[in-house]
Amino acid sequence: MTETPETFAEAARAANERGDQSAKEAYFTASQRQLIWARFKKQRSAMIAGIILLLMILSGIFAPFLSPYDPTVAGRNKDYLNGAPTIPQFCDKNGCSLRPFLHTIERVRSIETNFRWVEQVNEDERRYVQFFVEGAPYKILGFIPAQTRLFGMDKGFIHLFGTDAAGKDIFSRTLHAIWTSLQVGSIGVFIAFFLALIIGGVSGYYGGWIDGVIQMITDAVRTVPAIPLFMAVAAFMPPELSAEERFFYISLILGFIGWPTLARRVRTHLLTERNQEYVLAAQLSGASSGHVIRRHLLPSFTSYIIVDLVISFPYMVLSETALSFIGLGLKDPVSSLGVMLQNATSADVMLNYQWYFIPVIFFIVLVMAFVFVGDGLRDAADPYSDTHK
Amino acid sequence: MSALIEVENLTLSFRTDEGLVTAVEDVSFRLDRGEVMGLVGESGSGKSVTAKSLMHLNARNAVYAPGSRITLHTETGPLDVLSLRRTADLKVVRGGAISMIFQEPMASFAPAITIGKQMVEQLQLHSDMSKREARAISVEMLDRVGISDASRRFDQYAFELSGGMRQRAMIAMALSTKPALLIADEPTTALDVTIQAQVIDLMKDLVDEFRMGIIFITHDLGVVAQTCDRVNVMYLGRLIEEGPVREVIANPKHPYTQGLIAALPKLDDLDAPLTPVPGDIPSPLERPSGCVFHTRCSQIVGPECRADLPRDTRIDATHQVACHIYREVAE
Amino acid sequence: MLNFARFVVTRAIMAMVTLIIVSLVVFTLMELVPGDCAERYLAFKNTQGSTISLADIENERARLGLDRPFLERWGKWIVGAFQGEFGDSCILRVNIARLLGDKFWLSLSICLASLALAYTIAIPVGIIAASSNNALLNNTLRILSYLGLAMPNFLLALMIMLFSTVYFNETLTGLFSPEFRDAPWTWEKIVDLLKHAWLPIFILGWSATAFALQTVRALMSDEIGKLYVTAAAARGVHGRKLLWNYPARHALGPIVNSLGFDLNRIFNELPIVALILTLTDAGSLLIEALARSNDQQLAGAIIFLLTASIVALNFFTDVLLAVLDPRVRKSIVR
Repeated sequence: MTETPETFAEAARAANERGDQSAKEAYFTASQRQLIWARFKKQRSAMIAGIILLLMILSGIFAPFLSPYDPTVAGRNKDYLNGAPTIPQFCDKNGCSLRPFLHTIERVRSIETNFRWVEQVNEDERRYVQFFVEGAPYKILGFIPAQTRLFGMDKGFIHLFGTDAAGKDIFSRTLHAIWTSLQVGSIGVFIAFFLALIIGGVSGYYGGWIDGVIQMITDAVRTVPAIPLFMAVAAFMPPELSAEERFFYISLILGFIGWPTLARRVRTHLLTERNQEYVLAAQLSGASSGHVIRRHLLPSFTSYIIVDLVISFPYMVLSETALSFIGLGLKDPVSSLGVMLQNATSADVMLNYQWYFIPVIFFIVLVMAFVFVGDGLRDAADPYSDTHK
Repeated sequence: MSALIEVENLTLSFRTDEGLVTAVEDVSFRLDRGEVMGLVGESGSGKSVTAKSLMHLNARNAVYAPGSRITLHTETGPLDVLSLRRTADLKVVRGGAISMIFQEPMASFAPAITIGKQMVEQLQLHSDMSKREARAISVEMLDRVGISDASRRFDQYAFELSGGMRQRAMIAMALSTKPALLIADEPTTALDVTIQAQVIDLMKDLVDEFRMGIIFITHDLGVVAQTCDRVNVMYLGRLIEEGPVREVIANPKHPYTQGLIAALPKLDDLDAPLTPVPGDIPSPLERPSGCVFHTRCSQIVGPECRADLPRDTRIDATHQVACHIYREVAE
Repeated sequence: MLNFARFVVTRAIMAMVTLIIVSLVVFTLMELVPGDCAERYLAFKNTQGSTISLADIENERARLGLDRPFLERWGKWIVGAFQGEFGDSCILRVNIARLLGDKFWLSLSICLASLALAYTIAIPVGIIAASSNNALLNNTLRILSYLGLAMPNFLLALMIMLFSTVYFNETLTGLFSPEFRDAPWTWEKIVDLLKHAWLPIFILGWSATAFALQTVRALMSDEIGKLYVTAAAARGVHGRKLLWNYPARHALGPIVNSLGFDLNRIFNELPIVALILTLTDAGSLLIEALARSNDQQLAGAIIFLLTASIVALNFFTDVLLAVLDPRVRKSIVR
């Protein structure tokens, strides 16, 4: 990365704080990215959040491997609808076992149950949890075919978080929902960023009246509340779209609505950097405009832009969840938290099937991890401002 | 002459994420009434922290070592500044006995409050004047420091004044309560050279008029030579040389002071090369052992420079230095 | 004074321009939607049993003026919009202004109340947190703020409902008791509204408070670190006077400035919270308009009204700021 005066001064300052000669050398030659990383590492809460986030991302990527069943109707347990979580145990009245097991649940219907199907636990019959079982085939990241799943049962099903009304395993769905959120967020952020880079870039690089007009439009668009607008657009998606197409369009709309804030940031970065003396110095020594943009301007703020992207990520995820929740976003069979919660407002679910809400915890952890990491990155990238806005 | 303020063994550290960072170490000096003292050093040498300690004004994470003592001799008797805990009690010191002016006059006025209001507030805090009296005195003070159309300026905000004007207003405000001691923390650094001269002249006039002590914090030996009676040179939180201004400048004893003076451009020989003090100030986190200056010193006399703190050595009745070179001579 | 009036007028014109740009965006979106109002209405009629021919659609288009050029229709729409007239709803065939009626003002009041709640809590707590170095207080507030950010309001609403259903066997929904729903406005109805409105206000205010707290605290810490505060302390100003007259007073400007964004954020949460709590205000009406009937005329009107409220708030805060902050005020007068 190009050494800029700004990072230089920063490095000198940091080195002065540290003092020793070798550290100073390291700081003088460190790239901006290394400096940010060095400062980020010092923040304990952000580091912990970063580790959690990494675990969540990994569990999203390996969701098919980690989840015992397919999250769609294909993997459903038709004999265990709206079933409570089944937690493996090591001991029961018949003694203990090193291998965790579950009791068999039988569905019975008799005169005592008013001829309704009722689940009964048979405490004498054990089913054992097994690891690295061959299950239904799946593809990791959509193209690596595999069949081995982390765990499963020797017979029957295991539902750590219970099942929903269709008998789908909520644990498997939760893991896949994390992956969906990450995907939607990434595509949305990418599109928003692409638009922001063009619009903010033009605005910031040219300045003057072009900047004025673009800023006016950006500000106007920014005043429109995003979710209602989003709803207005999403509602008119043709109902005959397939789940995949819907997924694509939702990400697209998220990106199209999310650009103004990012564009503003890009513009501000560009405007401040453009007026830095090192740019003037480069221009005076005969660098072409393209060279200045590529070798000086872009490197000087890519790190900041990455930070901005991380910060805007959770809002994309939140928007998707909210939309799917009200039925305007993703639809079954795609697993997403919003989709999974769609039916959770009914009193029936609230009173009887509270395990529907287990995924919420994961979701909050995911969003919080992103917010913490984003905050940590911002503090690390910009040590002079501790504005938490 | 009677002492105005006495500083004894002032040691001050800041609690930070990296641990305790010592900013000032074992500093002792005394200032008499009507005396102008220069406090000279590079940035980070602890001169501003020392000055702020006189008003107990350092940040909340400051820790004073147990032996530290600052005694202010007021009209009602001696006052142990560091023992004052409550900010209400410190009022006697802050803005009462001691006033301070800062490097950036723009930033030291509250931006959304008129200059007059801030002046009146200070006057009313330290006396039982009515608003009208306070206003009259403030306008008079503004007039005294050479601000034309003072009664109009009184109702203006800092951003409406020019840089030199702001510093004049700052001086007017600082002097309005007739403090016994004025601390000027690099008051001219942020100003243009021509304005600098005006402000320094103004301060000199006012010193004569008000007969107060001044502590002049600066890194500019030229300013010190023009204004001060005595000078204290600080390096990395320690006082390393002290003496009358003329004596110290003409006959510097400490290698660091010698370096500082050699680094000044000489007007009578503009072709002479500038010789900066080699090396950088070490980080306060890693204070050198022994003499704090040994990492940059070109006149090391032996292993004691690295191992032992040099004691203060008297060169004559008024001039003293903390350096191993002179201890040998003395012994 | 004359200059101040000119400033206010300039700001008002700028607000208008913003609204015109917004209306263009909204109107274009309404146009881009597949199928126009005529088709939609007649398709709806179709499901009601009447048979519709292509000629009927053309006639309906002509009647609604949909055959006019885009700019002309936009012009007509925006002129109407500024007078609070949005034409008829596509499907319900009711005047939109009448359809929205109280509902819009009701939801706006709820949103403003949660904004007020957020700042009533955030200003004192944020100022105290920024000026104290109590680690426990600061960490608690930090975690609460993050929770407020990460826990979207609709999840909070769900959780509260879950809790109240499980423990009190009561779903806290609706804005009115059944007997007051269609009753004319009376004192009893207002009391009934207040009994129900605290929950949406609390839920909407929850993350608004978290955001506001962060804003206030960050602005205050910025101000407290500034030299003028040290300088004031050096003059002997102390205690509450030092806190409120100096940093707090100077942080007020940016706080006022951020109100518009906060209202925007609350509007984002409103429709979903309204849906969960089955409030019959503009929020859930918006969802109905969009999800159930694809009523673009109604959707456009609601989005325009929401945006107009934000623009109006921004206008007021701009003027307020000019009154509060001499730096802005003097730059106007000059």
